[in-house]
Amino acid sequence: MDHGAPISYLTLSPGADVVCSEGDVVGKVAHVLADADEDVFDGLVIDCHRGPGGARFVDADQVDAIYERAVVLTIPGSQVEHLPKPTPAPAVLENHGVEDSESGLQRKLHRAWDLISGNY
Amino acid sequence: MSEPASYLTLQRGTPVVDRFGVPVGAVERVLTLTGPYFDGIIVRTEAGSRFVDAPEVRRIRGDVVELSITRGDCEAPGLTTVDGVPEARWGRTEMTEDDIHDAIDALKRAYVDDLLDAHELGDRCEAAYEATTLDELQRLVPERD
Repeated sequence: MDHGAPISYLTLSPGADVVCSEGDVVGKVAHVLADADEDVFDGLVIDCHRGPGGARFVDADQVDAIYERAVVLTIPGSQVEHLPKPTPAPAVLENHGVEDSESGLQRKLHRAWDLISGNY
Repeated sequence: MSEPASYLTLQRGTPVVDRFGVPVGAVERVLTLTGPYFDGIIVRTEAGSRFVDAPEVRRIRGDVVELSITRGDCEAPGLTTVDGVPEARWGRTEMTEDDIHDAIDALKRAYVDDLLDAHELGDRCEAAYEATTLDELQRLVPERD
């Protein structure tokens, strides 16, 4: 399978194939999660293709390589369905300090959720 | 998904969701009338405890209770109280911006859970802004078996 030339996350487009470590296509890129100003790649929202839709979040360290037409993951296909789903941020009624702070992954999942609705 | 269940087996702490599937809180108490007849449930919400009358309890499943009112209605108390607990508002038909946002969140959840594709998500989100009643909004959100 020809994935094209290696590229930066900055030029990765939605619709590119997502390929697991065994080489099988497991979905398509739906959104790229990044902070371009800080040049930080956070991960991807992928459309899993298992039914009509189905979104999962792939953290940056689970991305092995990015090519023009495909993203190769470090994980096997069997782990894709266990990837976390984008989730809405809970309503915040009060701030109780450090204990309430989100983990890095939770923050990414909430940003991924916002990306899904970016146009709405 | 879980099987339909009865109020007779409903457990304290069971999650409660609104008509769009938005989390509302958890079951605090199940109330019955002599008979026994199902009177309703007291739901623990972030805004406090609320009594939800039986007609506003749309469906009881083993792991979730679905209401036919919105989260906003549940949190904004009505005029009456039951056992000292404010009754959730019911009977509202006009829409608010919050309803649209909750419906769109429900649509996004349906997309993430593989019930809608990306195009359907987009079309239905746009339709949500065109809806004029709560029933129209709810018809956009896929049913979950």
